[in-house]
Amino acid sequence: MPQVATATKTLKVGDQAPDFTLKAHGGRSVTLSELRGKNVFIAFYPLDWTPV
Amino acid sequence: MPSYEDDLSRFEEHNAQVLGISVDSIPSHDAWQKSIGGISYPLCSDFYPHGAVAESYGVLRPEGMTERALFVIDRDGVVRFIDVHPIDKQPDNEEIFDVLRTLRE
Repeated sequence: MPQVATATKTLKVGDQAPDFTLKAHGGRSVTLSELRGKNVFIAFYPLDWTPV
Repeated sequence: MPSYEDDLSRFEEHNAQVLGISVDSIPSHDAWQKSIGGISYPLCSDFYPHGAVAESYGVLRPEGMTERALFVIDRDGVVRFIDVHPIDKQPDNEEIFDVLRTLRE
């Protein structure tokens, strides 16, 4: 089994994910709640133009 | 972020949508993804109000950028995995696929 269950200041495993709508590159817009029925993998990353 | 692009077909096998989020602007995202060979999944801009989504996920750093933080959210919108990583380290994708394998597609 993977190591899981690291929490943040506001979230822990089992919580409902906060909904959001954000603009995305290529003129798109993403609303989390519109992705119900799919699994979603979110990668927050520090900044563009830095080694990732 | 390019490593997620490389593994995109594997994410699709798990019915998983990949999203990247940083506090950069859309013009920055557009130019940066081009410079690294193209990213097809959405790079989302948490630019204004600055870092508001990152704040709600508890991953906004005091200096204004986000943690390197990974979340897996299931098809019902429930958080199933959280990994806040050292900012200079790139996580291993296999860990994410291990989690996705435990979820319904």
